[in-house]
Amino acid sequence: MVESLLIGLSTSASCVAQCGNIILSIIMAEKKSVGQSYGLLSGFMLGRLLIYSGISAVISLIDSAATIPAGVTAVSLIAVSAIMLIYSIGKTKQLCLGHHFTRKIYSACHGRISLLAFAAGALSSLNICPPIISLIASSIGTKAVFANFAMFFIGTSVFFLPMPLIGAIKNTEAVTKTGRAAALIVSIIFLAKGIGILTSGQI
Amino acid sequence: MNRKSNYWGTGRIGKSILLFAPMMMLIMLMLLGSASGGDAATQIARLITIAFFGAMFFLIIYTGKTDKWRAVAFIVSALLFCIAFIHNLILERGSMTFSNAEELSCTIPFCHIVTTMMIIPAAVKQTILFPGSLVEGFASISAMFVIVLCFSIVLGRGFCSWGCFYGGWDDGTSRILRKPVIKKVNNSYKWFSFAMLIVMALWSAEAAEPTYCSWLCPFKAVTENERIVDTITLIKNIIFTLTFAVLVVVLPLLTKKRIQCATFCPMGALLSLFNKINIFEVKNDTSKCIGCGKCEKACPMLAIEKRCPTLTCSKCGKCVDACPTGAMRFHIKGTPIDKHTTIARTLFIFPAYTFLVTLCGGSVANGLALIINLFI
Ligand code: SF4
Ligand code: SF4
Repeated sequence: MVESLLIGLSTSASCVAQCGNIILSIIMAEKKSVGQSYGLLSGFMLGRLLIYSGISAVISLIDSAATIPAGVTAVSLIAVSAIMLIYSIGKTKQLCLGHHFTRKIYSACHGRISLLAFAAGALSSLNICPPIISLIASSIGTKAVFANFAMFFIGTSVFFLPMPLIGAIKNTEAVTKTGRAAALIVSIIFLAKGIGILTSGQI
Repeated sequence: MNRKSNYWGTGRIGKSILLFAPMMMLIMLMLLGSASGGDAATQIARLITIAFFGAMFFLIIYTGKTDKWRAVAFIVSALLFCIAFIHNLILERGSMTFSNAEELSCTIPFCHIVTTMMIIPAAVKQTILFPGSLVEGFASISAMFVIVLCFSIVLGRGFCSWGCFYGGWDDGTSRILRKPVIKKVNNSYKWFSFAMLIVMALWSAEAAEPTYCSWLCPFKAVTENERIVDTITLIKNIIFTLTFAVLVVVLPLLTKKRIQCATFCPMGALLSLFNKINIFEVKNDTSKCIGCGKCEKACPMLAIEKRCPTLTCSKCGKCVDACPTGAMRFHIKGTPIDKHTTIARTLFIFPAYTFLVTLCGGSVANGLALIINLFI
């Protein structure tokens, strides 16, 4: 368990880099207080926790790490990309192709932005990254898969915690627009990664 | 009021020479001090470079037009830097391209833009992920970091108009047409570069490589790039060429804005933050402003909002040159806006121009020597 916590802590840079982009851009683009931003982060973390629990349950059941095929990872990446794109375009008032459609999806989420954060957290966790692979490798055959994942979750979450503090300065137009632009860039990166995995068949 | 004729008042030529003399000595010291010997072309190139930088500085001081003459020095520096850089690569490595193995074995040069990619990986993973030793003749990564840091503290984002040897490219292309084809560019696009900074820094941490350099940098097209050995390297090279063509050539040409610098470069975004702690700024004396909007139209960095320069101002002085009433001016924070304008401008231009000659003087001389060699 301690080992899992250490894996989480030592690889959290990668986790923050992978998932931090998503939640950071949502937090920055929303005009909410620090407290409300922590609410968004909670939704995002809950999504991650759910998927981690699912993975650990699967591992416990069949004791194998090779159960998540590359296609699932690719599709989850593309889904995250779509969420970020909808988010980014839905938050901008400028006209573009699909503007009407994406605005509708976005407004359907209106008032439930934490639902969007939750979905983003869940889908981004399906993207099997090096820290999770190392965790799975160290968990296989042990009797404490759930506990390992929980410790790993805590370890990787530490570096997410300061993110909502950006809420203290986010009431400026600059931060909001930067957040929207970041969502767009993240969407493109995830789409490229997803397509790369789909075409090569390798994670 | 004719600002130009009133710039120095009486004795303009005398005062200009007085300010020009120490800068000329500095330029000579920088370009002759460390250099010794060389063939005839090299000697001639050095003399032309000294005369060129000296003349541009004199004109900045004498005419009171900052951007007009700065831009000439800046653009020429960018072009000749790339010529000298490519020549150096071919001499040292035999090619403009590098392999992934060479990148990992730390034998390729890098530029200041990569410092933004290094910060998070180096801090979080306690490793410097990008090559640290370089082809002879170019700065080491730590030296580059220190130079950029010093420059940023002294001049803020002034680096983007007075030091960056890439900035001259889109500064140049944005001046080719007399009038813009695309007349209105939304100022908000400048925030895209801040998003680039955040995402690229985090992505670099995740990928353990300077992802901006590996995948997006437009200037790979005119410096060095990864050898095409498979589909991935082919895609990378297509991206480099496209970003250069679109962001550095086509869009600046059509909009008369420095699109790559203003909206894309993560380094520019980082340097903008240094404007906060820098004592120099370009400011509007609103009591003299007639609201004509010429400054906003002139600003190539999309930095002016409601007639006032904002965080992303690169202190190029274009708006100062364009302002018909002299309302827009160089200013030292904490001093009265309507006083000491000339002193503020001079105090800024001295270190800024010194940095330009320090960073680009040698490359300009080398590039010139190569061109002269073609004819003799
Ligand atoms: S505000 Fe003026 S000095 Fe600053 S970048 Fe724009 S034109 Fe140049
Ligand atoms: S160009 Fe000068 S006078 Fe015109 S709006 Fe700008 S600061 Fe005011």
